[in-house]
Amino acid sequence: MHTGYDCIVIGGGIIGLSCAYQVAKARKKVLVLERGDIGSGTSGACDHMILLQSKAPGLPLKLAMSSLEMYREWQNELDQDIEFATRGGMILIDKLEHLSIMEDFVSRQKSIGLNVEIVDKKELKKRQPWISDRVIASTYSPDDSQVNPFRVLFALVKAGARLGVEVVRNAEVVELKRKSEHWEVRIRSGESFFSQTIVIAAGVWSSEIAQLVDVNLPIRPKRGQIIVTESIDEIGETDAWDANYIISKHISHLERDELSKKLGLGFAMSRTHSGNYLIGSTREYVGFNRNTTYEAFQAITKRAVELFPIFSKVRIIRSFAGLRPACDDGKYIIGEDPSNPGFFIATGHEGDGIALAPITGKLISDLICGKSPTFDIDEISPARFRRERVSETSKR
Amino acid sequence: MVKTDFLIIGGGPAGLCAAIEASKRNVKTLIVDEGVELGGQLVKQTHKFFGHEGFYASVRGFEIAKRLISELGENVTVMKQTTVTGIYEDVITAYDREKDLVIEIEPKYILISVGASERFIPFENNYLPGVYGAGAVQTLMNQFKVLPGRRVLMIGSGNIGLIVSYQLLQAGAQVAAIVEIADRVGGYQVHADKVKRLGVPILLRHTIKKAIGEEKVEGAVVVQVDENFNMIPGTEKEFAVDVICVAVGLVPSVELAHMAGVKIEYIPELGGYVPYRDSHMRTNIRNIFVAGDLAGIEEATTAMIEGRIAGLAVSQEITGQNLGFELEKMQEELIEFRSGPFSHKVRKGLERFFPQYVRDYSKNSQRDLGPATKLRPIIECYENIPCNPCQTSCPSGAITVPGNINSLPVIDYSKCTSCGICVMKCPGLAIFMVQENYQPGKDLVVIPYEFLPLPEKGETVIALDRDGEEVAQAEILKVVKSANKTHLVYMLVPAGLTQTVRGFRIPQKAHSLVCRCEEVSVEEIEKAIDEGYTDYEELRRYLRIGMGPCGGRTCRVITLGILARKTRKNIKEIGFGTFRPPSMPIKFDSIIKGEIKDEK
Repeated sequence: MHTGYDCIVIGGGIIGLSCAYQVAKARKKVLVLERGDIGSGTSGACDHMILLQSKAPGLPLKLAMSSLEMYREWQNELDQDIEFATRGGMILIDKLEHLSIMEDFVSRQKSIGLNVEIVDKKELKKRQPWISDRVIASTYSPDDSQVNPFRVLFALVKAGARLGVEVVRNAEVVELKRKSEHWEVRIRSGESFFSQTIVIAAGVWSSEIAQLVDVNLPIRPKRGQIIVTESIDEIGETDAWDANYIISKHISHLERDELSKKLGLGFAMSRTHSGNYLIGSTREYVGFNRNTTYEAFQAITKRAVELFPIFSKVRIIRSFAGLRPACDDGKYIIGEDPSNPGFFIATGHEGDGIALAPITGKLISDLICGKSPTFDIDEISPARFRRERVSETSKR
Repeated sequence: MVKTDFLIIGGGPAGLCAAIEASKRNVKTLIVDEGVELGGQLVKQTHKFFGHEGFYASVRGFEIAKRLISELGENVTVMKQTTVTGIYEDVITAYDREKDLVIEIEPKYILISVGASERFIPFENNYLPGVYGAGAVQTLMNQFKVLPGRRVLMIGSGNIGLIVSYQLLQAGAQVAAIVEIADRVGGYQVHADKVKRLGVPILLRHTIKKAIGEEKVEGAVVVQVDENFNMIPGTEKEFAVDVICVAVGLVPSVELAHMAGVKIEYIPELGGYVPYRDSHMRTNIRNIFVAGDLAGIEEATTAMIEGRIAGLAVSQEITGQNLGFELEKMQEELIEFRSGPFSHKVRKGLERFFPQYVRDYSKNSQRDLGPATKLRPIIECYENIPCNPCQTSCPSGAITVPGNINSLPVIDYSKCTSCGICVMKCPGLAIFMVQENYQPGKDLVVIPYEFLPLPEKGETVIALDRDGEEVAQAEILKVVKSANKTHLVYMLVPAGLTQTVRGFRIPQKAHSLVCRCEEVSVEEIEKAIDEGYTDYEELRRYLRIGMGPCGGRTCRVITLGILARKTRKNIKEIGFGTFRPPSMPIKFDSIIKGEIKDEK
């Protein structure tokens, strides 16, 4: 039997490690249980963006903006190079019918305080000299940034270790029990750990874990496939997406052709610190299948060359797929479960996990310490599922 | 039509000095020069010049160019990137490369100071890219900061071959060898010593037989020669090099002088065909003068003196001033410089035009190595070359170059204050400092050093002897940085090595790469495992192993081996990670083309 912890975080991805680090910063004794190794899930198979422009105008955008500020601080605070860079971002519009949608989206984002605008073809060419002529306009925000998620993961492990955070790898949680004053967590090897509070940050595996205490989390894995190019020179000033990316993320019913619909294809292109371009991505419901498909590979390739013909001679060295934890209502789940005191949930970030890791950890840390969070997070609280159930029952 | 009193063709050391003298006397002067910047060969020279302070001894060539240019007066006009294409009876034509037009110039007096071009030698495959003249290598490397290759074979051990070899080493290239057809080094011994102690072999009685390679130089075959310079079969040696640098001498560029009607004579001691001129640098044509390498292959200092003489002579004619005293002074400088053994050939050649005089110089070198208990200079200067900065820079008057500047320096150790200034100043890097028994069992050796990076205090380096052979480990005691970029490195060597150690090498950190795409070394992997990253995939994310174009083809297995060894696990127990398509890099294009074909 192990002596008690103040907090056990289940999940050693970027969300779990951010929670662990920030809870430990509040002088709590923290343990992280990771079913595989560090970043073996979604955090190890994603792109590297802290993209503000893709966030729905409202709480998600506010959280992302605040998270970006935290990353800026983390550059020094974590005492490791996390390859943070602000390259700016552009969402490319190559269909006339998307222009009005994006204009509306941008004006609502602006009202929340995001530095973003629609730019014409001339300005677009200036920032993206290799862009195809088919692109008619674009958004531009100078604030979109990036970070190397691997670096962040290991920086959090190291910074956490300095604060006493322990990490146990290959520790798949098989049992969760509420005892009188504490929680007991048993892992596959049979070992048990005890803690005042539990944080579920298990990404796509979160509903499985929550099931152990009869909590239903409507999280389903959404597969995202990404291709990686060889290291090349910069081909434009900023990273870039297409409007389909926003549409497949927020208004997927607008998608037209069958393949795009099936793959949920939205173009996303970003240059890593080492010069490789990551180009994605799909949004597919295929269960826990993490394989890549040639269909998606081809579709991404084609779309990239359509928007940036210069890619045609560039070589692709790798492709990978990651599972994004998507909540059925499209919202994050951050908060305490109302029927299980001390049972916190931090998941459902889908493709926003890297961007939102700092603020998520901060919110969880505040909640655990009994401080009221800096944002009104009612709409993303797990309590919303209880309320629904209550209202469903009352309807009957 | 451009009219001028004095046209100077070629703005190298001779032309610039002539312009300085003319501009001091308000002579309207025009310099026409081919180069992007004025200075001729000076702009590519990064070594310190010999001579005396009046002619910029101990100053680096490109710095001399800057100083000369700054001395040009307002009445000097400069046309750069312009080549004189013809000297006609009535006019001179020049092609301006920037404006792409030919202009006409009508001068009263002309100085042709166009220098020389490089001699070339025929050998098999000498047309392959990678065969360079030494001047081209210097232009690329020192003027435009482009290294022509990584490993060089130098042909010729004259001063240019030796200096360019040294500069190549400074720029980070390797010099496989210096090949010299004669039985002795052609250039100054101090220049030869500089490259020898960096481990570059000088192969005497050898020549190049052929360049190896299909599209470009990939190697060279060098062969021994007999006393008649015939190749000796069976003595071939092969070198893997990507550059063959030819530095076998210079030929005066007489074309313009000949067009102008100047008498050309063949005088091998002066470099072959040279224009006739008198002691005032005037040719047989009254208003045409020559100076510098065109007037006979020599070196920059005498070119500068000749330029001043030509400038004075022309000024005297144009202004009517009597400049006899100034001219006499410069003639005396020439005699001073040309009195030594290295000027023997030049004197012999010039005898054909007018009588030559010499001054006596001392051949007695320092024999005494001084008191062992004191930190003191050891001057390894055994050739009578015209140079004296050791004497003129010494603040305590301890060093003397008696009489003529070609004399050998001697030192009075009782006056020496161990300041190290002579070590820093010596253009031949031929002065070192030593002190025996500085610490128990340790002697101190001070080396003049012109390489980057500089070693750090406390660092362990490998001490080298005069041939660049490793003799011992040494510890850096301190590094004194100098504004003239000859830094002084103080190092402790095992006792008894003060007369052996003359250089050092910073040891290369052992660097065995496991992942060659992302350059991850064995040490980095072992360190990461020690930090607790004991899973292949985790190491991959942490160190980027296997994330390059090869997809982990070679590094995966090696990494798993290191993991197994360090964690004392059987390799079977360690997960080997995933493999992701494509298994080889594929172009976007190839994928799209394949899809289109499929649809048909």
